[in-house]
Amino acid sequence: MSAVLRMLPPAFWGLSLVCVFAAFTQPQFLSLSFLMILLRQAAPLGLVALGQTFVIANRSLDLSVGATIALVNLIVAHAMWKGYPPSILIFLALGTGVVIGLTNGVLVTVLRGSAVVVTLGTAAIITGLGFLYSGGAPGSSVPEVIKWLGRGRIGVVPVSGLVWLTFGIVAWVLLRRLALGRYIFAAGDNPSAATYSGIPVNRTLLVSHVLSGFFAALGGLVLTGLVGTGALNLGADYVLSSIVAVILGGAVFGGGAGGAVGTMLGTALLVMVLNLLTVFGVDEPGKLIVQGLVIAAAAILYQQGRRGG
Amino acid sequence: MKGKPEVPPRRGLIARFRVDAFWFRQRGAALSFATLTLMVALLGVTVPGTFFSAVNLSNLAAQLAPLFLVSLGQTFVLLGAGFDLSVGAVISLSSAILTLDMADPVKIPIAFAAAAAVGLVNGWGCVHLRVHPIIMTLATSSIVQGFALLLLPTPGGVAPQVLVQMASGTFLGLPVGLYWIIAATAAAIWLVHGTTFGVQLYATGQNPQAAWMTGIKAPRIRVMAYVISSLMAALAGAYLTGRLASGDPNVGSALGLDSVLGAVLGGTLLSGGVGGPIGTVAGVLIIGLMNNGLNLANVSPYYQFVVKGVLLVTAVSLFRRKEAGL
Repeated sequence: MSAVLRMLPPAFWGLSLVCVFAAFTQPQFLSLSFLMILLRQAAPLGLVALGQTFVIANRSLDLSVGATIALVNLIVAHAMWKGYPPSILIFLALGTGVVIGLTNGVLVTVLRGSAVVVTLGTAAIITGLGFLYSGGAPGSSVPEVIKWLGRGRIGVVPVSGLVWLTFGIVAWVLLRRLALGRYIFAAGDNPSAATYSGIPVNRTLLVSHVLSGFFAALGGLVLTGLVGTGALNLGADYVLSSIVAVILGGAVFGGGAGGAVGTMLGTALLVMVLNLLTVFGVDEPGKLIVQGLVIAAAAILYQQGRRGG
Repeated sequence: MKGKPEVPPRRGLIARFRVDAFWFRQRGAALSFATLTLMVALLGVTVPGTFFSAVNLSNLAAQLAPLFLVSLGQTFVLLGAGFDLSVGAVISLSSAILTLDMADPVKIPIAFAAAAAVGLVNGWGCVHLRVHPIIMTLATSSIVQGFALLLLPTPGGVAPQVLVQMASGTFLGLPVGLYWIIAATAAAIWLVHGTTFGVQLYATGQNPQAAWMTGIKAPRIRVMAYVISSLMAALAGAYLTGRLASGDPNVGSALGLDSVLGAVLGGTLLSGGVGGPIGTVAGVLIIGLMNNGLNLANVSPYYQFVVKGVLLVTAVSLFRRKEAGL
């Protein structure tokens, strides 16, 4: 039993605490309609964070997700594609994400650059290319299908939430039910031991980066649909937020209890806390301080538990 | 053990071995200086009149001084196998504290004490609580940025007169930024290459356990590196506050990651123990000359992003490491 409890990510306890707190102080916060709004808001970040889970569990990092989101937005909203079927656009956007992930992966595994610096570099390159492509002007309108992806509802449930849950299940299967997930956690926990036991460490890391690029592009699509128009610098704050969500979900560099479920709970916790603070009238500085304290507390508690166990 | 058995160096060779070890650690710096020479030559050929003009060079010194300070500070942390994301927020915090409505002799020490406290918390979290440096400094950076915005919600306030005088104009015919750069560089090079602390920092960065077993207080050395980094960031904040003559709670946000770039372009590895402040000088100058040169040559700022990214990726790919990842 205690082993099961220890496997639960910090976000689980945090989320329970926040829900109990909200139930006593702001009951309307837990109403179905408000939760659905939160779900819609959390979905883009949730998708990006799912991708980040793969690389962080693999002892790597992807700082280029923000630039990827911005580029996807520029591509989807660019006037050049007016009249093309949206399916081509979606394919193009996701393909861009895969190419970016592949580039990161090759640079990290073949050239052995530090992932922090490599993805920072590719982020700068992507941002520059995006500006050159768009001429510095935000795009115009977004196809209806993509808007529906970001804003639409089936019954009361937002479509973006369903997309998030679907890909959450995909990520869970990849991480916990396939050999790939075993490889990722093994390679993240101890790269040399993984190499000696015959795990294709490099290829695993490459796949992790490709998945991160793909999920970032998917998150960018949903976010673009939610915003509804082209916007410059969309997703800049998603870089750090996605890392925060993964950490709250219990993943640390090199394995850990994290995974798809943890990351989804972490995203939910982050979005809940920030919204709850808004309800209480706490503004930007207070939110930053609380966010920092939550990250520090989660990381320290997790690390202490790991050393003891 | 793989490879050839190592022959212990003979007595007479020890001196040369030391020199070789030095060059081994500075191999990146040598490359950065070569790149730098190439860039200066290129700028001298393409835009000779404007680049070598006194106005341009003094502007360059004034602009690069803060980046020099934070990058040198970041170098200490990187040498100790750490990572400090919080320097940008510390710059902003010191800018906010330095423009508070208080007497100068009170608020200037408070700004530096606050920075030292942030460094101590970073070091304590990374070293003693064993939180990963990226996570720990991400958390503190969020908290510190929050406090900066709490103290100074919008840009404004009045900078201490001392700082305004120390950070603007010229002294003995040279821009004051240059004196800040020279002083900080000299101090950093002395600390790393002229003191026991420097030797211990390299040893700790290469292998904390081995350093501990040889009697080096590795945890203390690593915490000190974080404190130095924060103090240098506060110094950069003081310079920026003096130069702008007012405070800005977001003044450091761009400098946080740029400080890592300066150190990395100078040949300091993120894995610790390789590189040093001499290389960082070249790294920061490369960043400065690249932005300056592309501006002078009228290249679209959009290309500057691309060039910066390509430079970074190239720099980091030049030294193959054993492990892939972070």
